Amino acid sequence: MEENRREVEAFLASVEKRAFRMAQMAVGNREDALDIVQEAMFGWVRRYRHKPDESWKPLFYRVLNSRISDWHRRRRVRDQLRKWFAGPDRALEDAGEDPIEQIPDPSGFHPADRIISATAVQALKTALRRLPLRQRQAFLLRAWEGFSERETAQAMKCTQGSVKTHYSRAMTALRRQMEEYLP
Amino acid sequence: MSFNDDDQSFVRAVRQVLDAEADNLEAGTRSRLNRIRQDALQTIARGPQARRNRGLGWLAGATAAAAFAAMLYFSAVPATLEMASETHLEAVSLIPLEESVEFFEDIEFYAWMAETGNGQV
Repeated sequence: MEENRREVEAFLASVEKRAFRMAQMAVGNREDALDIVQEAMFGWVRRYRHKPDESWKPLFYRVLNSRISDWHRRRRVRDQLRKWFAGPDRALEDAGEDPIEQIPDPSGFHPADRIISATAVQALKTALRRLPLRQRQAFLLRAWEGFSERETAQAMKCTQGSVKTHYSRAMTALRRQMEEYLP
Repeated sequence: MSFNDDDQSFVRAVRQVLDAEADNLEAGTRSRLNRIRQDALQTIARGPQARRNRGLGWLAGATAAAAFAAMLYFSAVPATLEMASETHLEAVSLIPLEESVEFFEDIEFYAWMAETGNGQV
């Protein structure tokens, strides 16, 4: 039990920062992103911590992506409820927040700045946020986490063919949006 | 930016940016993540009790959703936005938000019915 707890803690510590950034990109604000990471950690610990170590990461991202999808579903329902009960004026008022503006820029200088200009970094972050949810998930899991197509499919609860399609479309969209920064 | 036509170079550059973003979390966020992790680990120790509490939570959510559905049934869904009354708003405020995903999914259906002609096909 104690041994498993140490391994679990080390695993969660190894994924939490990336998980937070992925959630933040998906929902556009820090508090909701932290809530999603919390739900993902609790859900993963409860259901999957006894699974073989090699499956931990795909399963964790599977839970995380489910929680992100739940967040989007709840937001749609909330928006519908507001429209239904409060009328269109209130709905328009609530729609004023731009999620992209909620993401704080990193305040400090970091190594990537040496080779990548700040403008290009910002453009890349914006391009990533503009991707459809499933494309962004596929891209981040494949490109950032280094998952195979099979692992990505497991994490996204879809087929490897869908992963290939999402990833390819994400890559095309990102390269197109970053075109002016290419040599 | 050091991107070129090669996808691998593009991916490497993207990964570099994202790694830097993840490594540069502010102290408050790092602290919250640490606390969340510790809380999650606590559930390992108190597993059976937590499962019982979760079961009770779902029961409470289901009961609240059933009560709200019954209220809607007896008071009738408002035909127009103008007819939405304070009674409905008060009823919504009684529902525990964390436990009522199904309830909101049902409400989405009711709202869709209201928008598309009060349930008449």
